[in-house]
Amino acid sequence: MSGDRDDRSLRAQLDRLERDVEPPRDLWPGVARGIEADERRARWVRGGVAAGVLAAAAVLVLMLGTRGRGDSREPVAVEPAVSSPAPAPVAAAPPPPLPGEADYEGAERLLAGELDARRAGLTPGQSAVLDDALRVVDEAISSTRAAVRERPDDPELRAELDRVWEDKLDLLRQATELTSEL
Amino acid sequence: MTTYAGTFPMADSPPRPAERALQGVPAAVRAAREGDRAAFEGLYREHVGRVYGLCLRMTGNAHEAEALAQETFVRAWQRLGDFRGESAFGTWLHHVAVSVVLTSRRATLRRLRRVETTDDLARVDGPDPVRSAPDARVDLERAIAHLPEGARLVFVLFDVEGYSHAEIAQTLGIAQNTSKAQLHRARGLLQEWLR
Repeated sequence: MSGDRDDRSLRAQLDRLERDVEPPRDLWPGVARGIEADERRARWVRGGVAAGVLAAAAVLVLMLGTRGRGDSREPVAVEPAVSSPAPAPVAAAPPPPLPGEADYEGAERLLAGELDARRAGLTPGQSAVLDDALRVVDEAISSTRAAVRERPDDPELRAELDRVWEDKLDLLRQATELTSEL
Repeated sequence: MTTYAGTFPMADSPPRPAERALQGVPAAVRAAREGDRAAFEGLYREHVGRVYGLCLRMTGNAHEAEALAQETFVRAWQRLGDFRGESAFGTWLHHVAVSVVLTSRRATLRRLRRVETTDDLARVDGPDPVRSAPDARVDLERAIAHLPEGARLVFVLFDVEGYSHAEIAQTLGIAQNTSKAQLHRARGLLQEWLR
């Protein structure tokens, strides 16, 4: 009897329970920030993917160009590598390096130096394709690095930065190897 | 009572053409699917009470419920393209919220398992009902918040939201008998506390 009464009482209270509960504050600003952050991340990822695709295309152009061309190569002037990110404003203090950034920059300097030394072997067209790819990869690195500084705890962003760093080193490595075959 | 029972798509039901299904979808939802942020804010205003209420009852924690309600709407925005109009938008959003809450609870449990001993894990299942009972006699809302986690999730989904035991078993990844046992436990504790 008591059990039935308790059950009816619980049912009655359940029927009176409001399904809608207004939150104590407006949650929309947080939702909007979440949506914006998500869209920024999607743009960075798209930028990184585009950089990777362009880098691969540049390597393909170089590879095709080094085969079957014989001695018909045109001499070209050595151009400086476009492999470094855009310099920071002189007045601004550089931010502390991210984990792994010093290693990446060391490897990048070494490979870019080697590539520069072999640039004379490229046609102007190949050199332009390579420069375009390096520029796009550098832009992807720059924007992804800025995003990681803004949200250092986001593992997806961090993985994306590692990936675009690796894209850049791969591009430099492959371009250097291909130019050494010339 | 508005219930959400019976809204899971049947595994063997044939897919409906997206265009035909979207014809009955409210204009605000269609606009939001096209990326209209203002339209989505309108949907947020319309549904936030329902989503927050669900998150609050499932977690028993107001701060966590706020964060999870926000996360639900961000996830809904990301997945709007998946909404085909096979159920009402509110029903679809409700399932997104349940998924967000359960994912968060699982992540919390994983974190706790990494740092706590097996004995400590007993606390994950909620406060001791006997000791917390005197404080929980205030009303049903507070009593629900004091239920042990497993019992609370089943009670909220079954008695408040109208899920069936089969749907709860599928959603929580538990056996139907476990769902029934947790519901029995939850009702018993609530009846005792609210007597």
